[in-house]
Amino acid sequence: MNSDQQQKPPEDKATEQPLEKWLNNLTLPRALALVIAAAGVLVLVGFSQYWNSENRKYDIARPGQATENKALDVTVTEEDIATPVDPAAVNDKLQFLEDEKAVLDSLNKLEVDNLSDQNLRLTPSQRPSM
Amino acid sequence: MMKQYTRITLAVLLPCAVIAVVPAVRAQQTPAVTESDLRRMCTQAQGYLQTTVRSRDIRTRVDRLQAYQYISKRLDTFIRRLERHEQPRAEEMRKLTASLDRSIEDFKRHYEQYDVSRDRLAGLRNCQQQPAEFSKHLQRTRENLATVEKDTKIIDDLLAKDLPRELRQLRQELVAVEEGADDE
Repeated sequence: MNSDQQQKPPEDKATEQPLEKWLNNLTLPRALALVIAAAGVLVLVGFSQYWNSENRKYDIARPGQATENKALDVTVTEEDIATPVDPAAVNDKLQFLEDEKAVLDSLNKLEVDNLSDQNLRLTPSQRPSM
Repeated sequence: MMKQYTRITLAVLLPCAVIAVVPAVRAQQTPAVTESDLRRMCTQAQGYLQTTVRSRDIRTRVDRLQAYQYISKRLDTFIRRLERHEQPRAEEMRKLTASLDRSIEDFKRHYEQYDVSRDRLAGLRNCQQQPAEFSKHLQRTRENLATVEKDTKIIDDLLAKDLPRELRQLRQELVAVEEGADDE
């Protein structure tokens, strides 16, 4: 009786959808492999998003870890210092300093006013003016 | 007679009104933080420090330090060119970039001190029960931040004033050398 109950009637098997059929035939090892593969895909997607993110540069390197920041990847070649400096090179350097200073000025400042009573919301609410 | 009394009254009352009003107006513009304010608001301030201030400081520190180090490396290459070809002002430029590198190290060190004190302030437990302790930590954090601010000012002056001045003098000397060579 039980085995009859457990077996599906032939007409049900015929109308079984492919997905349903596949799921019914799924064994435990296959299911585990599937879950692990899905997890791996998620990790890859997440990691590639992180790798391509602009915010990656905010990661602080651990001690002993070489920095991979491209901005600091300035290697001096023999070509760079082969020729003497001329007035045009000095002009370039002056322009370089001006451009970098402009970038620095556009950044947030680390100043004491950032921790003023007003900015830290320590001041009482403004009383109505006279 | 009445007009005279009116004038005298106005002459006396107006200054008194100004003297009475100005301190009150000034007091409204910069209200002093009392102990009860600290008790009420310290937790909110800590939340603000832990979230907004901390993340902004990290970004600022990373961006600034990257820029400083990049500038320093590029200048170093330039000075090595001067030194390799025994050109004028190499020694003066080297001294300035050495000063720049020292200032960058000071910035890093002082920022870390500020970072620790800010986190300590933000993590102070039961600040409502110990407003004096909170105030003390806040003062120390502000002092550390003032030191960092001073470091960035020193670096900014080096980049905006001292180094360009030295470069302009170098340019003058190089032009003079070129003109001397042309004359020959």
